[in-house]
Amino acid sequence: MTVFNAFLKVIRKNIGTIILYTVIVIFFAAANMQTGDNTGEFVSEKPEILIENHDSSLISENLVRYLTDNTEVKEIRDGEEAISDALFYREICCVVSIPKNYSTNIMAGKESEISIKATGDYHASFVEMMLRRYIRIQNTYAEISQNEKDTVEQINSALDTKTEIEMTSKLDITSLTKVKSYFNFAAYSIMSCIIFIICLVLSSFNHMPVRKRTIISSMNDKKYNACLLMSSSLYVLVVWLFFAVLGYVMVGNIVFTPVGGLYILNMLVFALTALSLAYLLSTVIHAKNAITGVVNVITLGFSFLCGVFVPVDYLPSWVVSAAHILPAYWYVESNNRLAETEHLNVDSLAPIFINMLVLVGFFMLFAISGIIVSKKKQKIA
Amino acid sequence: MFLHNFKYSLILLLKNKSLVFWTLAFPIIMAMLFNMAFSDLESGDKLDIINIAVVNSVDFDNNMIFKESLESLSEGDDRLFNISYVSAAQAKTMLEEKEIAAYLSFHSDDVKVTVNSNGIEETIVSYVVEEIKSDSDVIMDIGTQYIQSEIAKGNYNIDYEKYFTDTANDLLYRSVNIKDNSSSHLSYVMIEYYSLIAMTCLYGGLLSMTLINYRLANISSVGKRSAVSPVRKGGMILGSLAASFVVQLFGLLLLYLVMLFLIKVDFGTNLPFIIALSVTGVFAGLTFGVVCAVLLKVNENVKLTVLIAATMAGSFLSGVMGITMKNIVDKNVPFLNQINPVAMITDGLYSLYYYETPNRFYFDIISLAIFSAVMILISIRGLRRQKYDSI
Repeated sequence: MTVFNAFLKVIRKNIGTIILYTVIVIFFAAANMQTGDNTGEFVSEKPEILIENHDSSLISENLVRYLTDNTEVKEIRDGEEAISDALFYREICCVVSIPKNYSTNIMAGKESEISIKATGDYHASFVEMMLRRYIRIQNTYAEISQNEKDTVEQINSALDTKTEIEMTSKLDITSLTKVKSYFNFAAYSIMSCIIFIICLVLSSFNHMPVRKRTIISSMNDKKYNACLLMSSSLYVLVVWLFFAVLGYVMVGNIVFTPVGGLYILNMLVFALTALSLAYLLSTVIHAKNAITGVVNVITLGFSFLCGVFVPVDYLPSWVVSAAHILPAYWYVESNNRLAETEHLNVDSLAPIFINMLVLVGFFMLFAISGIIVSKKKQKIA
Repeated sequence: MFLHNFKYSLILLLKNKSLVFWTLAFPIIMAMLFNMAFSDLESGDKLDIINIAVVNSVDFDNNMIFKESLESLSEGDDRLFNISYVSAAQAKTMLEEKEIAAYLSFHSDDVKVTVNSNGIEETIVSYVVEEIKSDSDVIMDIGTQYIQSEIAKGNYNIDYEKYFTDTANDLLYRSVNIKDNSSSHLSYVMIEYYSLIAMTCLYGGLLSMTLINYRLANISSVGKRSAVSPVRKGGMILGSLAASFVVQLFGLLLLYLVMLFLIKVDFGTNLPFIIALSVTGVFAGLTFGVVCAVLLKVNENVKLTVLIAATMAGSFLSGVMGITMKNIVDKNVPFLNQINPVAMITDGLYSLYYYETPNRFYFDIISLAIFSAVMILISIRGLRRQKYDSI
């Protein structure tokens, strides 16, 4: 009970830190939760663009209408600088500028260049593809048509083609992406809450005067260690439960499905791995000031390199290869797999359970290393 | 006295391992982590070759327009597609295993696109298929119009094949000129590095706060002894501030060297402006630390927490945890970033990188100077004529 009380005391002292990490996970998870309904039908991506039409004619307005139908046209009224900022911050991917006398020049067979300012990403390239297609058809018909009205009608009739698109996956991608984002981001907060607090608690118990008093006390060493282990495990369970409940609040009922259950189970295995890592760290670091630094470097390092903050698909391949030696990678890998699992069967579950086994391996490795280090340090002069 | 105090302040700061970690090592570790995590972020956003499959069939073999168009789209270094010609079952497996973004199957004259999910690659594939279909319709339409007009003129001797080939070539290979005025400085990851520099400048406050705490009689024993000693307090404080300034500037220089030579961060070309902004930023950070030390009548740890929390909040608003946040605040609550020194430094570096004219930079650096001046005034008011009858 004494040990447990000491645990509670350290937690109470650091409740601000726990709240901070909780707020961080809520913010990051919320920021990455796309909205939208999944109807099981294909929905085209609509790049966000801005159009500056300096010409007032049927042809230019028809181009604007075509772009409006195929993209998300934004309006930015705060001047040139606001438009440049919007482009830089990817609020829009392209600014399309239609010059003066565009229509007159096109109908006269002269050059009239549309200018663009683009971000150069997938969406901007797509807008450029649209423009090229439109201009090719427009110039072709402008050569053979008598007037603007005919040209516009022929362009529109040519562009009015539809393709049959079938979508094979019936997965609710939107919901699963939300769940994946939440559980991936939760890794950072879980690691911080567990490693930081457990290290602080254990360092308090390992503080030399306290340690000496404990050693010479009547308390059995095994009982003392068991108390520490029980209290730590209880704390980890509370943290795990808290983030599981928070998951329900953030992503809804999906956590009660079998896939949701697997996410929560994966989180439990990861939380226990974080506990054993905290134990190992506490055996090597004793200064409280150093704990904050080391915990920050470890949690941020794991998060940046293992796909917690940046999706694994966007990480350089050598970083992903290197991340295999870190436990967070296997946790995130399982979450990512679960988001793409359509049917739960032996084939789809095997890699997830193998990842969990790898986490158990890390748990054992950290725990055994911790025991060895603490045994070596047990002899106090 | 100034030099004496400067020397011992330097020793004090450099012997404090925790301070050295947070002000010198931590920003460099963060920069390296950013580099590892973000180095492929933007290239992953660029249009890459899309893998698709076409289901082999007689209908596809007979569809010359699609056959030729797809071939031309999958040739050369700047090709749009890598195409695998496979059976229906193989195409399905490839799609399920995410080896391809989509596959095309042909049924008489029509084509069906099969995808596994929504996404930009899938959208582009369906758009290109639509484009090929509409091109085919346009060629037919123009050909029909031509034939009708020739027949109306009484000319029945028409070389249909040549006319359709010419029309197709004219439409498909027609040059389209789009003037690209895009800036070459569009790397949004830079904001992460800029806000990290800004955060480092403000972390300098930890140094000045630590030293000022040594001069405050209500905080430390050294402060009590200093208070009763017959030395000018101004000289002592200036010596401490100068030492913090030198240490923090050194830390920032290390960070710049790592960013410039290891990470290759692009700061634009205006070196004197960057130096001016960095020096002003470090100064603003130090003055902020002094204000926290003087105004907060609490113990050292609480002061430290307040300073770190304020710096982290400022960094968060200026985009260190995701650049979108800076844009959101700038657009919706611009006042917040106008009083936020971290955002002023970040925005100053951003304007030097992105904009050709320095107007916005001037606004940022002047704001930062005003912020520092206000902090100095508050500090002087708090520090001067402190007297204790009993402590």
